[in-house]
Amino acid sequence: MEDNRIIDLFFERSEQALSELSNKYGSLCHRIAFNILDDRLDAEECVNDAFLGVWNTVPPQRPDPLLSYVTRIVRNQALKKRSTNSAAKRNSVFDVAFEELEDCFPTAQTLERECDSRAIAVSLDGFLKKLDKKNRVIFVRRYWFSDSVGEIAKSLGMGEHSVSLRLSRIREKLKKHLEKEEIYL
Amino acid sequence: MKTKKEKLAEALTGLDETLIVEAAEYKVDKRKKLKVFGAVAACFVLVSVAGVVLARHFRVGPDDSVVTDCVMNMIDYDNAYYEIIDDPQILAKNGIYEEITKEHAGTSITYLKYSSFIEGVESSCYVPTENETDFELMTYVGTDSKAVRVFRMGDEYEAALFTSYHTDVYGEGLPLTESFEVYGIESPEDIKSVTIGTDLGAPVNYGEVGKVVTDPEELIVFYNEMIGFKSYTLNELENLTTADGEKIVITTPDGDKSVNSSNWVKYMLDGLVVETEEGLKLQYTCYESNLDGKTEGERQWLVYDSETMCYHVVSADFHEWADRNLGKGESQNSKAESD
Repeated sequence: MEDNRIIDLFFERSEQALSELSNKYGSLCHRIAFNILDDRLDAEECVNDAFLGVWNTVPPQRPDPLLSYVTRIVRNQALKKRSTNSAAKRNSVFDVAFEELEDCFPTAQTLERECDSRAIAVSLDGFLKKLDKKNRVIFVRRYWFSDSVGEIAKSLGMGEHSVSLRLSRIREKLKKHLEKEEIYL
Repeated sequence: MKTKKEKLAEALTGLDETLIVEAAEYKVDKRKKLKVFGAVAACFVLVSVAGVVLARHFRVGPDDSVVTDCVMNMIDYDNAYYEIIDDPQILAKNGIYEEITKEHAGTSITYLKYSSFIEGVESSCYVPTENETDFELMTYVGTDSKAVRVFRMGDEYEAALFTSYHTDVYGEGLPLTESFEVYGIESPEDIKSVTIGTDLGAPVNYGEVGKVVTDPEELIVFYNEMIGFKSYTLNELENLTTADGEKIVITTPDGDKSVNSSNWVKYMLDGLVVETEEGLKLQYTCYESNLDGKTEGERQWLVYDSETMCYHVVSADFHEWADRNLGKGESQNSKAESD
């Protein structure tokens, strides 16, 4: 079903909206939550909370695109759940990917030099838009969706070695970009 | 106040939504190849006319745009990828001349053209063509093996090193004979020497060379042990668990990392270097792991083979071979006694 039709169902307050949302984006949302939480039940709960969040905000909002709207809510919910869950497993795909990316960022020597998350996001956007499409997709799949190298390789029809090599080189470029733009964590 | 982790997580969540949609909806679309081929070919001609220097730094994007930040320089030939390498250190490490010239180029294998798509997949690779072009894949003098080729761009020559087979060639772990074959090793007699670190995990290229083994009898044992190792792909390894239900974790020089870490590329240090009779050097990385339910202090060694992207489980006999040649422990004593 088209996104517009699903949103219309939300506006009509039809419960079918939730099942259509689940049919279309449920597995993607579950994957994002699971990659962050590494627990199927927690991921399930997180996706349900996110869908409830969509139900509560649409209307009045009419998100376009719906995909990024709902996946962003799922990601936020999963990160929140993760930070409150002291028993959260470490060494998940999310942790590994996150550490890889964190290593690219120069550390601020003083508090004044630290950048806020908005400035970091703008700089990352600028960097990613200069990459070719395939490298951009690999980066976002790894660090936004927290997909494993194997999953990325499979979905893009590439070798795992090639994906790792590309990620490694993209991170080297990102590091230089961040230093040049004086983006400090 | 937010922690660094929280700030980075928040920044990532705030990425432009078009990037998220693009990544989520990116699919391998075979039909796309036909639609864009004409435009890509036209741009390719323009780039070629502009000269080899331009061609090396500017790539034609899938939507006719010129992408100025291409990360890879790959050749897709005969179900395998080759990477064009001009770093003298890497070339020397592989037993190849540090500067490739016309003298190092043998016979022509195929002409190449630049393609953003292969079988509908965005690839940014050079691929074979029947038409005569300025790009050519040639043999490297001194070897008939696949391990190294020469890439010609007009009057310039560079090395093209075998990177890996296409991922769809194998769905399960391949034996080490596959990478031996790439380097032209069909029997122990094709091996000139094996260099091991001070321990299996001590990388040779850190300067900690433990031993260069040239004894033909030891090379036979080495070869026979290596080709018998049990092999796993990364996917297979990711899906395995220990008897306690733990995920398989490999140990890298800066501590434990999950096997799905893309960071392992930077730890591709060479625990074992096999030099062929032709002078080429084949490197393997060794990792410790918690595979096979080993208890603490008895970690299982894995040999990683980048040619096939497979992990191989080191046998007890091989471990004994390494210890014996490093002059370590009981193995050395027992050999000395038997001698």
